[in-house]
Amino acid sequence: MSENVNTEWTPRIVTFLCNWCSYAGADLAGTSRLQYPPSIRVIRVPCSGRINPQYIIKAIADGADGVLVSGCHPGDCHYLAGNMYARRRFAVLKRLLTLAGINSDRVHFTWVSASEAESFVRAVKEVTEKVRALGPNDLGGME
Amino acid sequence: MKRIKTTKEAFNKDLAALLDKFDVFAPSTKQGKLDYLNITDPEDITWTDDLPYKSPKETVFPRVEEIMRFTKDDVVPTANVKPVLLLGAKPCDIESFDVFDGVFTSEKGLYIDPFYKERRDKMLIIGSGCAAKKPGCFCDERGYDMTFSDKCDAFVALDGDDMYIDLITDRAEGLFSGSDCPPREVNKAPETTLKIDAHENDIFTTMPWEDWAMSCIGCGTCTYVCPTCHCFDIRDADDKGEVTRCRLWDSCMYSNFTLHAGGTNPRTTQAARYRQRVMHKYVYLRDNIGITACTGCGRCIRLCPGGINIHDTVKDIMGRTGKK
Amino acid sequence: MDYTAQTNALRAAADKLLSEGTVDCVIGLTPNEAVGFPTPIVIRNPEDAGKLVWDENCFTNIAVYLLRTTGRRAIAAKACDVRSIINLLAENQLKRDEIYIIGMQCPGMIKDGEPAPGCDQCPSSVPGISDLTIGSDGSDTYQDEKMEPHGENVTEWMENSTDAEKKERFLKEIDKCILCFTCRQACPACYCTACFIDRKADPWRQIDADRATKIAFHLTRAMHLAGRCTDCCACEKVCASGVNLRYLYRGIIEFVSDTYGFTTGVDPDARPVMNSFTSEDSETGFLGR
Repeated sequence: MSENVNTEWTPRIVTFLCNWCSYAGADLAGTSRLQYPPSIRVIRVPCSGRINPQYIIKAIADGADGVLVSGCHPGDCHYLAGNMYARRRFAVLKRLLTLAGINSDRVHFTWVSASEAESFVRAVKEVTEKVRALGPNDLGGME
Repeated sequence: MKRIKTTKEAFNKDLAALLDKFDVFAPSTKQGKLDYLNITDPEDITWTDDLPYKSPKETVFPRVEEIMRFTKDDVVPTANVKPVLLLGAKPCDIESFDVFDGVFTSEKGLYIDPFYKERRDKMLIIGSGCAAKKPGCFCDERGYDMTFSDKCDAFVALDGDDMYIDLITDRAEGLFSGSDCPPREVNKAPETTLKIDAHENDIFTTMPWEDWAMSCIGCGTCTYVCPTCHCFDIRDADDKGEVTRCRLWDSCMYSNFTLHAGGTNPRTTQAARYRQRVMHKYVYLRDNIGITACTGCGRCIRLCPGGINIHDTVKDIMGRTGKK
Repeated sequence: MDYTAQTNALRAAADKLLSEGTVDCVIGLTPNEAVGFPTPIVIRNPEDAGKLVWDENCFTNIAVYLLRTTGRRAIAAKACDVRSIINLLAENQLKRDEIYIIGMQCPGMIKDGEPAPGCDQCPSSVPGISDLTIGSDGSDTYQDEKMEPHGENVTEWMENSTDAEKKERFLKEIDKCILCFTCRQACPACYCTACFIDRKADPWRQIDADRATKIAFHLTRAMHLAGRCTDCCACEKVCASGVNLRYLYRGIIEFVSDTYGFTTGVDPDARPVMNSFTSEDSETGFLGR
């Protein structure tokens, strides 16, 4: 797959969606028959605060082309404040990956509520384009 | 034993020809600290009387060694091992292979380790001497001559641009060109003054292990830099249906070294772990294979962040047990 | 600087504390010829007070021994040790009334003939909190000695280098690592009883390949230390292989300070930065922001 880097190439983007908002938002995008690139591989998690930064590091180190993380909007967390802690964690993780030389366009964070099917589609399209512009992840253990 | 004289330049040329056949490891400061590195250019070798900070055991006992690879149905054959040429090994490090041989390939051992044996049989060691003891070194007390060891295939000595090579085994014949010269005078090895004669039971519970290990933080540096520490763990790594079985270094200084699957940990304190390290080197291997597994290189003493000193510990034990 | 006077004052203090029974033990440093610099010691008898020393090579962070001893403990701590202690107090790992801090004024230490790692960015020669003060002349007041942090500005470096350069620097350091975990053991902030890297049960995180594991270990460790690292450089000082990933930790410290206005190791009552939030937290780098 990694040999033909052209507009046809579809990156593989590991996507973490929180159960209460973003996963429902993705569901709504599907039931609403909205089109978006088939680039994401969804992993459902209870809350964006549940996402151990190690998961993201592991995904990138093991060769995922990109990572997208989405949770409830700040203030709307099902567990009151899970996404507020996650917000700081993601900001720091992004800085850490940048420092280590991993292009910051490979890892993305956003907020999508259960009713925002369109903004979910927009996010997937945007992330897919950004990762496609970078080409396949050559890290695969960074060798 | 034959001795030949050559120049550094000619030696480097002969060595370059061997690079295809061997993975050459030699002391180099290319990565900062003086260490045995896999070199691809003879110019990268640092010729010095100094002792590299890490031991060369990695050359035959890699930190991560693939020992098997298999899928659900098949065993995937692994690549052949390329022979290792260890160049510039110091006498204490050469002695350390005796311990490895004793543990992994000895008749006295119950098991011959095929992975170690293959690497070791193919290995060629060219030694070189130390000029002076570093702080913490005590090879002389362990009965080793720091200027020379004959437990290798050849031994080099550098004098300005001139190089003298002692050819010890047949395998070293013909690798390097040079003119014959009179053989070297070998010093008499010093007497071994640092060893434990006492029985295991006399020191296991009676020594103040807690005091000696008080400042140990359990980092395992001592075991990683030690030329004779050889404990390992085996783990399987699964990648899309293909399983790689790896052998990795382990350390008795870690709290999970003795952790059982059921959750019990028989070695609960850091003092017990330190005791294990000292006893393994000076008592258990002495009883099992007849070699005290400490070469006196002093690496663990110099690099210990807690300042723990195995030499002083053993001295203390000797004093307390009242034997020499 | 008068290290002899400081040593004498320290020995006198240790002797007094132990003989009067104020503390059970004193954690300090003792000369060590083989290592070349003073190494940690825990003394329990007043007679042993003479073993303590204070000189320009006392760069070892001994705050980690507070986690490995129990009872009432005194510690001869310089500014960076005290920053670690404050972080431990903030995280409820120590009880303040069990710890007796002998504050040692320190103008920066020497390691291998050069300023010790971390000293270039040290904000103060004076410990933040202490129960007893030993100034640089050995008296019981701190002298006025200003510190000028002058080390590398990692944020600036990050902005001015390409991804390839950053990756090269990272991998250069990673390749030296032998995964001995000495950095973790020496770190006063790494006190988990079961480190993520030791939990063999995690089926998705295996020690499979050398480099990938090293990357996972160091990045995750940096992440775990975000807002908790006090820049004491204990990890760098003990690394036998000379791995220098301080710039990663330093970069996070700068980021946390710029973004959340938080400095670790200043206020023992402050809530740790990664364990708190505000509704206005920055979302720089998030999609659409």
